[in-house]
Amino acid sequence: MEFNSIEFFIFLISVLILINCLRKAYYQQMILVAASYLFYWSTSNYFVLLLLFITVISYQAGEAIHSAADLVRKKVLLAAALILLLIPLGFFKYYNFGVEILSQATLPLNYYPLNYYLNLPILGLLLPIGISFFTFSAISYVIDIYRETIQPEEKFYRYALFISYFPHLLSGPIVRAGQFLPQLKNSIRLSPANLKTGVTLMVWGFVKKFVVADNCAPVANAIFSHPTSFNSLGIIIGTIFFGIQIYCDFSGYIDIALGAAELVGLHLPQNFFRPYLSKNPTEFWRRWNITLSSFIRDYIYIPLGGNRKGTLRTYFNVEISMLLCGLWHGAAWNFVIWGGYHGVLQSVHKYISGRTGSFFKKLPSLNIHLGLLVKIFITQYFIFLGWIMFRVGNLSDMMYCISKYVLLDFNFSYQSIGIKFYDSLFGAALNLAPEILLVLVSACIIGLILLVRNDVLMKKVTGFLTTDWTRFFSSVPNTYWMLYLITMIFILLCFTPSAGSEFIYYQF
Amino acid sequence: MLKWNKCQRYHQAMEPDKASIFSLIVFIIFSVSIALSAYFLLIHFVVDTDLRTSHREIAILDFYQQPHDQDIVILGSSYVTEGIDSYQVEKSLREKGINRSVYNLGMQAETPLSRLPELENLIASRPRIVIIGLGYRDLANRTDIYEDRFGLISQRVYLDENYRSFYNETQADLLTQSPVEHLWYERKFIGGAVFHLVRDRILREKMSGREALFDTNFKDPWLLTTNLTEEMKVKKAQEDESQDQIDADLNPQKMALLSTVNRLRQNNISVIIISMPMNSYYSDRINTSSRQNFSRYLNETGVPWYDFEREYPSAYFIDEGHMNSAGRTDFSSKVAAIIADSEKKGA
Repeated sequence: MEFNSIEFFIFLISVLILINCLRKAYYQQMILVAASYLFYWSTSNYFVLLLLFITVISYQAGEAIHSAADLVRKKVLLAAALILLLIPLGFFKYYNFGVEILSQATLPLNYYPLNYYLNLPILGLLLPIGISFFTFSAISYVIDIYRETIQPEEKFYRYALFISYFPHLLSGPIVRAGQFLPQLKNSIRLSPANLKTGVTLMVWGFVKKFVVADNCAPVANAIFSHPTSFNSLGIIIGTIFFGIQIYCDFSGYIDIALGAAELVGLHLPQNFFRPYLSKNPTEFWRRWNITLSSFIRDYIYIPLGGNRKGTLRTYFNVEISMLLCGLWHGAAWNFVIWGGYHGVLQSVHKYISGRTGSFFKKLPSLNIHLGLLVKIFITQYFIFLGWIMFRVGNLSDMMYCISKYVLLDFNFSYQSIGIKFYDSLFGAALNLAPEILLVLVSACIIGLILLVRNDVLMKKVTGFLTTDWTRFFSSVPNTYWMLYLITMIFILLCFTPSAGSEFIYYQF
Repeated sequence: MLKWNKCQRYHQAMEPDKASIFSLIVFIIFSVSIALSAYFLLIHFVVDTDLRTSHREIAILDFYQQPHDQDIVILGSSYVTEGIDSYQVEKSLREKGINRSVYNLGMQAETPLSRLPELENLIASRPRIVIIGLGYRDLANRTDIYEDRFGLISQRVYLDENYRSFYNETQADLLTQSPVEHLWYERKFIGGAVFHLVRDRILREKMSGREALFDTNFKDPWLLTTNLTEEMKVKKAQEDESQDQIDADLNPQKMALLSTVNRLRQNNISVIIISMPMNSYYSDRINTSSRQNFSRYLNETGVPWYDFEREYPSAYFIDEGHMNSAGRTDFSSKVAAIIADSEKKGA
């Protein structure tokens, strides 16, 4: 059962009707737990037992840590809980990758007993959907109890609902107990405001995913499936399309999840805040996958010492945190490289801003429009370079793409791209009228010049870009809201491509 | 009209309109209905209209709706579209005292399997003679058909259960779409339809030569604009060699051809098969067993077939198999001679 299926809508409406028929919080929450397990069972079958296992272990660990008499005991219990919680994730997600590394590492030694005993088989493992998300939620619960920032939840069914709540179960956001459990104190009632906000968010998410992301996907796929046959222009176009695709795919999913949660009446935290308007790599990670980056900050970076142990140690901590962030995304070298690259970006930014921060502040032009645009452009240039590492699994192809992206070949002939993507909205537009690309680039350049030179326009554009549109549309009068719905549904009907794709973050 | 300032004030105040859940649900249902209706109107008035004029497969179905009991229709791939000039055939027939209309219904990448779903429509138009132009690729074991063709014609053709097994699952599903599925499927042509609308009505530009391929004209041959050099012809002839291998076993293409021939003959429609002329660069690479299997299979169909494979030198082609003006004129006269011969025998 996926968010874009009829089954999900029937499921969601049934859940809403059921919980609104019941008045007591206990019954409502029990229904939500049952519904969430049914939802997970429908997507992952017997892996529902794994969800139950993680829930029971973390719940019991929380109780035990809280009631432990001394700190040593608490630490031992915490370590045991973390090991138990990470074993399934490690096994399903990283076992094959680990075996591959081990066999490559021991091969040059050519020492028979070692090679023989370490010759572990590669297993055909299916990754349980959402395992990284619900495991991290469980880990945060246990650690927060250890740190005494929260109290253990008294009722198991409430805790089970926190871990398994269906809107965030498959692809996040990663929910913290402190944000979610207090909401369970009261019974749920469907309110007009929640209904309006929920529907607005869901429709917005569907448009992002199906109209934008799924129409960008064929272009990015066509280029990155055989990247070596493309010139710099092709690689840059592919990178831009993939950057748009992954943002709209993931944030679209999050909007749908947030909308569904809003309808039920149990809110989830926001996961994106206009990441492509970030002015530096550190800010990017405060705006992209916010719940994951704050998890990494609170449970990896700060425990490692954060920025409290000197400059070099700070860079080291950033690098380790980002490498783990990359590895969280997938068991493959390209994700490790991507994580490491972001670690380097953040360290370099910290170094440069530490050295030259005061220098730039003295340059007035860089603190106003042009400076802002330059900062955003430079940051996004490097962020999009990172998307190549994220997207291209084959290392030699990755190197080719990076070289074409960084060292331009100055072959900007559109025909040399030679892509055929009739099934994609954007692809068809580019294919039918290549001039569109030229017009778009020219419009962007003219727009930027106007922006830099005109304060009023800059204010308006900034206002437009920083408006929370879903919040805006859910607060307009009902007749206008209806216009919003009609337009969005019409766009969905017209521009959803025939070959849709799964949400990218399902695989993580 | 939505007033920006008013919305901004709403946005700042964050006070949602007072409305009951019931009225919001009514709003949602109403919005969905309006959006669906708008979508239906767009498909009906813009997309369907565009498809009728821009897609040859639909124009062919329209052609079948008229009676053609005195006419001759020619089926086949782009080798046929490019290689037979209907006007030239008609002219040659008139010189022999036969007054018939000839229609070239060839389509790019056509194979017996891709034409099979339209068979009953063809029979309903009752043409006097059906000429099927074939090459090696038409009988090779391949099912890579431009699938949108099936989606486009699905509502106007009938797929016999016996033929269903000839197609893969996607193709069969496209051919047997329900009206609602078809309505949803047609969204993929919105972009093209809107583009054509803007180009033809607003910019008033004429369609390019390549797009003219899809028009509704079954008389003028489609002309490829690129005339390749000898060197390029040789290179082109070497492409996709695997597509021309014909083994002794039955395959969906062969079964589709046999079904077509049998159904036409059962309905007293004369069938003639022509092995289309090929550039020698292309013909030389066909192996002996493929050639033997091709001939053997055409013999088994039980209808007269004429072999023009090695009839013309390279100078009569623009590439590996598409004929140029000189080739087309000469070959069309020979086709007319075959038709005249058939008419004589029939008389």
